[in-house]
Amino acid sequence: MVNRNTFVALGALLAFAFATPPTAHATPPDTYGFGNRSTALAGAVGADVNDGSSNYHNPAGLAMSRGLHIDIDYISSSPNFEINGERSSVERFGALQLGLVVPVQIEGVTFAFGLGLVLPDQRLARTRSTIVERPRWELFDTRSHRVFLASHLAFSPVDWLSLGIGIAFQAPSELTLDIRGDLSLTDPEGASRLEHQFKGDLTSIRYFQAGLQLHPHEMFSFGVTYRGEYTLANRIIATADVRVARIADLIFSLDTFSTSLFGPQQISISTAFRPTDRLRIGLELTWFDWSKHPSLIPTEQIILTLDPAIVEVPGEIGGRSAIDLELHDTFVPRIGIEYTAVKTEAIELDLRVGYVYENSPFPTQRGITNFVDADRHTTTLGFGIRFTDLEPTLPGHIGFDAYFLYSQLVERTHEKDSLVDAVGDYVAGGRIFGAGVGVEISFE
Amino acid sequence: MTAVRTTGGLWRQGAWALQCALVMSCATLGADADFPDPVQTSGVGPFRLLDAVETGLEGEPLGRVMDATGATGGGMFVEGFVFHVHAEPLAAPPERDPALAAYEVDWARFEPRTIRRSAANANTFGAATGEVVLQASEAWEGDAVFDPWAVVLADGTHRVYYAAEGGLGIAEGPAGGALTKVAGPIAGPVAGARSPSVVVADDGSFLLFYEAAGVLRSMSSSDGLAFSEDAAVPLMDPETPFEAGEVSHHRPGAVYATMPSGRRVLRVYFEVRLDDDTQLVTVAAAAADDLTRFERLSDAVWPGDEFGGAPMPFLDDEGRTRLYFTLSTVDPDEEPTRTFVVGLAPAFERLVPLP
Repeated sequence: MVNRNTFVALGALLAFAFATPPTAHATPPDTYGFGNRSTALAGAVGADVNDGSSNYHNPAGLAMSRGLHIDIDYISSSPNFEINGERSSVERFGALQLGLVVPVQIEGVTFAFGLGLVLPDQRLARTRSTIVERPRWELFDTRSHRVFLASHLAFSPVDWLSLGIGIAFQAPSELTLDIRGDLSLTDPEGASRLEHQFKGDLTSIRYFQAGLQLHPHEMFSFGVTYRGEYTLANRIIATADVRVARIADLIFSLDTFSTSLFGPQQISISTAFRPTDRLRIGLELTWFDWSKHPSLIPTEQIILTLDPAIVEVPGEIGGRSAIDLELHDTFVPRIGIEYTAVKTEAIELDLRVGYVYENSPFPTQRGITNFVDADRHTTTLGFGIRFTDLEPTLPGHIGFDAYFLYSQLVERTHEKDSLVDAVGDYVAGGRIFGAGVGVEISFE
Repeated sequence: MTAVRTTGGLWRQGAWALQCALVMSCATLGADADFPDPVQTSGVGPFRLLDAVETGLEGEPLGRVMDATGATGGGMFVEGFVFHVHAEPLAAPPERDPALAAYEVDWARFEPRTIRRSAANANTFGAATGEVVLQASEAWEGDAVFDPWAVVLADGTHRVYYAAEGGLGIAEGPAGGALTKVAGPIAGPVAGARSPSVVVADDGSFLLFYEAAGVLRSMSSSDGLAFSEDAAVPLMDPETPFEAGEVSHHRPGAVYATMPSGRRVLRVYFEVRLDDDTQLVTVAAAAADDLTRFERLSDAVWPGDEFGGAPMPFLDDEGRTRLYFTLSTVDPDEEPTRTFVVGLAPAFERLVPLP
């Protein structure tokens, strides 16, 4: 049934979408998953997800939730990477994940608001510039170390259809340092008169996510999810205009612009098949638009002049230019199987297994860049136990979930074109051990 | 009744939310993290001089291989021994040759050069001054022998290639034992051959690099005694030329390396003299199966400005390169004698842990 509220809801969703600049994969959920059940199913959940992880996997699922739903998970992943047999210093990632779904029904149409939050337990955000000659596990070193926050609206005009749209937030930075005054060479501490001003500007950018779920039959459901592209840039501007010993003007200008994080746009298509009421098989294929990745090598412009030239200014000062990373798009297949082993009036026990193959978007590092990555095979195992007969203490159910994750990063040889490369050839590979525990509370 | 249940429900939901907030507020605890570890397998440096813990030699200059008087012509390491050139100053030396660069040793002001062999110190990478194992005795050698390069043969014999006034010679002996001159001057190298450096290829053949008239040259041999196919080493121009023009190339030091990728590379470290009266040490490399193209580094492997020279590499089991080379002496007002030092690449590694 499509009524007036449907059109109102559709209008609200579109307004929500177009109010955000489409400018957002490389977030913690991209790397380590979001939601305990969804991660245990290798992320192959877009067709029928309806818990708090809908905020990442498919916002349309929010409107399929049967009540207020809160998911609280803690995940921990320990990368164990090696380059030439030596352990790479990629630190453990741990985070608290929160998913919230608030559905309401108005004249037969289900509306829902969702909020997803990933709060790393080490830091809110980390940005590290690239040292070209230093091999870095690009997808694991820095990208995942930041907060992920997303909010969505969804509605379901009819039982078999739901739509969702929303935004996620990230923060680029611009830092400015100005130094002015007089510098004494004979008594720099006592006679110099220098003043400086530092300005830091942490603005926010938003990118949108949208999804659709179709439930044409109780045995089948389909989903489509779109996640927008985003680029987080860091800009550092430093200027100095200093009179040196009253005989010369020193003018220094540094303007460096770097991409600290890029998330490619993504489209996921998914299906879930339930041949029996105890078995669910989910399949998902995601396209990542990695080829649009901008260079991670900062663009620098450095100007250093001294007038008159009382000392020689080094000729090599002049900055550097961006280098094309030559990433390619990837298609990532996922499969997740869930079997309800126990199902009674009071308790349900689900067993889960999943697999995902992520081919690396980074090419073999044959030139001067050293962004290390490898094809990744991930296998997950998990379970969820749900207590459903909790009235009157809890008008809903409470569940506990846990998963274990193992990723194998296939060893990859990086053979340099130049035999006198500053780094030389290397072989990189590794594995990730991850686990998560969580609780879900659902109010009917 | 309905209102009471709603209030109770809200309270319970609020309590859950409060507990969530409390957990989250404790979750974000900062911690420092290291930058990714550096990696270098190409052996191009920049090298750092070994410190006193690594050489076992306290005091200045840093990185010296041994405490010795007189002048050194550099040397190389093989199987626990350092073969090096040494000469003490003459009591009444002639005037210094004004044509020499300020950092060059005027060998005429020293006693005839000899080749010494020192046993490396236990647990460190310094060495004693050692004993004379080769000195000029043949007519073709003139009054001095120098530029030693030792190769360990399959049967454990140490074969030492060296230079003298009339060309290149060969001496052999057991490890640590007396050396016997077995050939010289070697037939084949062009006149004025100096600084032999010999590596054994995977097929067992010998490859000789040497310098003559400021040009690096190479020859091959099946037995390491008779060499043929003399040709200039096909060095490419560096991608970025040095600021000063290159005048000549000297003192090749070659080593085969296996990269982590499995490919074999032949590296040749050598001395470049520039038209601003300076010199530096750089490196060129070629694929082991294609020696027709030696790619050059566009920089010096030793970043200091002490006019590095006479590089002789040694690749250890960990893939690290120790480069034995010489630097100009510290005091420019004194007689130039050079200092025999040893550097390490990758520079971020250590050979001996700090105490």
